[in-house]
Amino acid sequence: MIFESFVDGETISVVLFFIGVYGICARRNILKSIISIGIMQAAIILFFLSIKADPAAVPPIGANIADYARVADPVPQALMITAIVVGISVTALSLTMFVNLHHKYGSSNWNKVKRKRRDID
Amino acid sequence: MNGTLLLFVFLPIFAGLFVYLLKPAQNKGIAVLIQLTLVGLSAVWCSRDLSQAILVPLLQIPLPYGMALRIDRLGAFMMLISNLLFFLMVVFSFYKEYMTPLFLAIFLSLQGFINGVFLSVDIFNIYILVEVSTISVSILIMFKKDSQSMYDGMFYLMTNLVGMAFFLLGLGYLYKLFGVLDFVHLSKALPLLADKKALAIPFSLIFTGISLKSALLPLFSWLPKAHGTASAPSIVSAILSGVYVKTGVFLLLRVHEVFGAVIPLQELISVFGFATAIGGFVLAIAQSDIKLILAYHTVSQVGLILIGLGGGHPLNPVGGVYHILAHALFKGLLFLLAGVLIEIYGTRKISEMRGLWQRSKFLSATMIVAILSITGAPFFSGGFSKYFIAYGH
Repeated sequence: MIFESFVDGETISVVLFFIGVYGICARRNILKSIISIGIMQAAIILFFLSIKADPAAVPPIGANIADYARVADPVPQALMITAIVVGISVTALSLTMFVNLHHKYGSSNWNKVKRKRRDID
Repeated sequence: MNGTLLLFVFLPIFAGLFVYLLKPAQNKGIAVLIQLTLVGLSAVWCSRDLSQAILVPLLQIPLPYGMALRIDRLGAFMMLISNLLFFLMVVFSFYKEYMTPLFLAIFLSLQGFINGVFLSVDIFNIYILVEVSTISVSILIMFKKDSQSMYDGMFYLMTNLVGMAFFLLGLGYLYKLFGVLDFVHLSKALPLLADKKALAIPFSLIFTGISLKSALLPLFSWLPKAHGTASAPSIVSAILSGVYVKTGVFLLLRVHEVFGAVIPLQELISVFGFATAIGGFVLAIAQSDIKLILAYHTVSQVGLILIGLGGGHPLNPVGGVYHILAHALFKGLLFLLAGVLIEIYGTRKISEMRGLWQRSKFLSATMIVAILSITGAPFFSGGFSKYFIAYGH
């Protein structure tokens, strides 16, 4: 099956990333924008974890690593732990800002919020 | 002496935390003291011979796996600009009522993050620092929680998150190709790649992220909202326009260092520079709000800097880098003046501001100096940098 050869972490993560981009471009709801950014971040995490994935590799833990031919690359995991932490705090911040914004304008639509901002001016 | 590089990043952040948590009575005094130290240190670093970049390892492990700080001429220069501007801003707003411990904490940590970007040798570190500084900038924009700034801060945060997501995906492709993420090894490894077409995707993704950060032509709509927002303190606008946009330009220069040997970037930078400069000028003329005029003018000045950096004559890039300094100084001054003028006249419409000379001779003289510099009059900093940018054309 030619279709199945495309189903790996990289392809799925790229597709997911552009689903997120579509969500940002096409939806006018602020909450959905935040969700789309979450999807993009999840896609990036999947991408980093799958680029160097090797089922035969062993984790790089322990004293006798040199005995094994293939040891997993720990750098992408280390990078992604940091990216996850940043992603969580960013999502938390944008949700907090959204709550404040909703209290102020009473709407969760980018266009309506923008129109109200112009009226205040 | 090499250990002092760590101070640039950690001193402002820890000072900010100290001020916020313990709320000492002399919090502004502490901030000014720290700014003075940092300005002095960066001046010392600038005066040293940095024609060879100095690497300061942070771990025992050598670079491709370890971490390091690197300072070169460009980094030292940018750090001098940013620390000088932060020092002047803290002095300017010493007696303003928005200088609460919370504001000082976020403001000082933003300085630490920006210094970190200038010192990083690792693209992933740059990603993290830029992302975190995006958070602090969006909090600073909406610090007064006025009705307008809520939308502006939210919009700024969202657009920049999307831009940095593109940057991170491009970084993933780079890691897939080379397995290293630091500039030293990347610039060695890039020319060895057999299939140069494989670089197209990572380069375009990274370039998208950076051009959003530095507000190039199609991606600048966030900048006027963030920099010209009516309710943000004027020192925030000044820092954003003076220093923070320049981190995008700085990243562009770093990318040019890495990719320049393989992908010809000179023309691309010039074309984007021309388009951005013209677009920014046209939109700036159409505004009537004094802060929005200055914000759109920042867009066009970034374009001018890029024209300089992409110029064919060896003096043109020098002019571009010098224009970073000149723009930081006169745009910072103009944003501060705009804040004062808005306070005096109670309006942001530039057509309703009249008779400043009768009110304050000193303000008018300062304003004239800033305007002469921004127009590029001879013997002013803007004039010299524009002369260098145009040299040989």
